[in-house]
Amino acid sequence: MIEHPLDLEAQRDEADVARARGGDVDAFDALMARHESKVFNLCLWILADRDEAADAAQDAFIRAYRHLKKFRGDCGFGAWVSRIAVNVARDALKKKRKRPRDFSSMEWEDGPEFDPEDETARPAPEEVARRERQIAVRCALAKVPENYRTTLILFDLQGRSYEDCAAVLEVPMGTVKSRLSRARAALRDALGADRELFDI
Amino acid sequence: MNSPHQREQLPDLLSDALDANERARVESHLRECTQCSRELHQLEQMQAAVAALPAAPVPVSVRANVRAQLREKPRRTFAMPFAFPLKTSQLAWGGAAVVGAVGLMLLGRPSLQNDVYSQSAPVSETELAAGAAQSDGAPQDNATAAKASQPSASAGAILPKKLVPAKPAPGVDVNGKAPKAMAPLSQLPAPPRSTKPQSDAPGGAMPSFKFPAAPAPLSSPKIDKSKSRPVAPSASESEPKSKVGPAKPDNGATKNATPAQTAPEKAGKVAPKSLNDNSAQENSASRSAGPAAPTIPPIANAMAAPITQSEGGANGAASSAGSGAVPQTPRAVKPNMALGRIAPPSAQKTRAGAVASADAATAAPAASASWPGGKVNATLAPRAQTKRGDNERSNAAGNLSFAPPPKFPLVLTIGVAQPIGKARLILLMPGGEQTIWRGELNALPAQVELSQATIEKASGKSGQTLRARLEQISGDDNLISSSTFELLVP
Repeated sequence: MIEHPLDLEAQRDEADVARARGGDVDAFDALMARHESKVFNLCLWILADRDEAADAAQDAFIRAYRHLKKFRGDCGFGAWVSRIAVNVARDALKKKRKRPRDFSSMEWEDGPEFDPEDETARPAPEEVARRERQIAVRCALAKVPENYRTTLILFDLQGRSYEDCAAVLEVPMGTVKSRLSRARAALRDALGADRELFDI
Repeated sequence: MNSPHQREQLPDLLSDALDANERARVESHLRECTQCSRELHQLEQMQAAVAALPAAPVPVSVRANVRAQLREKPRRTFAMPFAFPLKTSQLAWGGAAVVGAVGLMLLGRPSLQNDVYSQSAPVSETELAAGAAQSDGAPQDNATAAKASQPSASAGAILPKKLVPAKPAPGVDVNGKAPKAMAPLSQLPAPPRSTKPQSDAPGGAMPSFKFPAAPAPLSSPKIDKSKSRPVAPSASESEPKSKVGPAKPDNGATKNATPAQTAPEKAGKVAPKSLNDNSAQENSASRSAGPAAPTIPPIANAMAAPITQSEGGANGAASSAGSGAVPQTPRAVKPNMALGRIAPPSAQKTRAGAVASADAATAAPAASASWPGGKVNATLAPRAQTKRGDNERSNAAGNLSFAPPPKFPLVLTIGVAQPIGKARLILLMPGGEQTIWRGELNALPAQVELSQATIEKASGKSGQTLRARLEQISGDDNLISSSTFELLVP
């Protein structure tokens, strides 16, 4: 019987957590390798600043390591460290009293996909439409309140389950669902006329 | 049937936030309402667009920084032992001598304080003297301290009172006197300090958790109580409390230790006259003599007790008094002997189990008659670690452990009770002889590193003993006297 990849990852996490608890830094490094992307991007969507997001992610992992013995395994390690990251990022956001930047202006370093000046690529019309939708969504997400946006990122972008989202956000699952609904509504409203881009 | 638009319920539908009845009602409406169906389709496409957003690449620095911090964590905790032992040792010095000795055995190795507190060594030594005086119930005043600083037998007599907490234990130093200090310490149970860091000071002490049994006297019959008393206390007390002292109590540290340093240092500070023939030139040499010289605080002087005592016998017998006086003058270290051993030979023998003390009369009867040194004390022990971290291991939890030091190369340390001047050390191998050292052998012991190959070659088939001959030679290399001795290969 083939195990689900998520199950395998959970098993690896469990094993690495046990080793990391014993002081194995390499095991914790393996945990970081598996979860750093989600953690960092979550911080990035909250802080809308790469440097600040990097700092928050770094801080989150260090806190996670230091409090690893408090990790009871009620949720996955990824959810647990993401919860820490969300708290760290939100604290950073409060401290700086900084409004999220327009995410459309962020440097995502994702290659030519977001390089409208690239004339040599001459993308297909479908590709152009897809890019436009992504840009529109990104801009609209920036207008969504942070707690809704974070919920949407966790569920839609990172593909987490309701349970995981609830664990990360430390709210009941019903709250996750309601926030998701409000986030979608807010995103729809934020898109405004760009909603036509999604009439595919 | 027309029903009101369910636009507001569509996000809930996507989010599974509707109960069964509401869900059924909305789905029923969607089948009839193209506008709401289109709206739902838009929402689904938005969801897909969000899900398709590319993830931003994670800066490499995130993991790197975390890794770096996690790996640094042990070092942070590593720093703790530095401060803690000092306080403990200070308390120990200020308190009862016995309590101090136990505390030092348990809480810190001498070399650690050497690392951090080398600057405050003079103060510590003052406290040492004061604490020792208190512990002994014989408070010391300034006049007494002044006496101690004089290169005379009186100084040596003062120290015992201050620093000898209990009756001297049997042991043998270069002069055949008992370094009593080592006995009580070595008899203590092994301290649970396996996590203590190694000293990075030259002559850094080995972790005291290996402290084995009490030192066995090598040639006890010639103990001179009048001289052994001063020496023993200084050696014993300074070793644990100073944290600077015995470079390698366990393995008979040699190379970085300070016989060479401590003896002249002590002599230079306390009994200038005792080394006056060498100290002036050696003072400058001591700076460049090796890494050990500048870092070992004066408090380590006491560790050179056996050697110093021998020196005292030759030059004024005041060197041992140094342990009770505040060191003021820089130590004198002979360049080629700068790497000495802090621990008394007797202690090393006990701990390393590889020390042989060869009395000229017993080991080489033919040479003993004319042997000016009277007694030769030689040790063969693994080289002391030279710096912290040589065999240090740490885990992420901040725990430190220490791998056993390598067996080879072994360091042969040889000292004489009385200066003999120019000398050479010859290894007697089954296939011939090999001169392994040549130089001045005075107050400071000579040290020679022997590789495993040399050891194996010299120890022959038995592989257990090593034979060597110390020769006193004249300026034109003519043999004046010699003494042959055997060493157990540890």
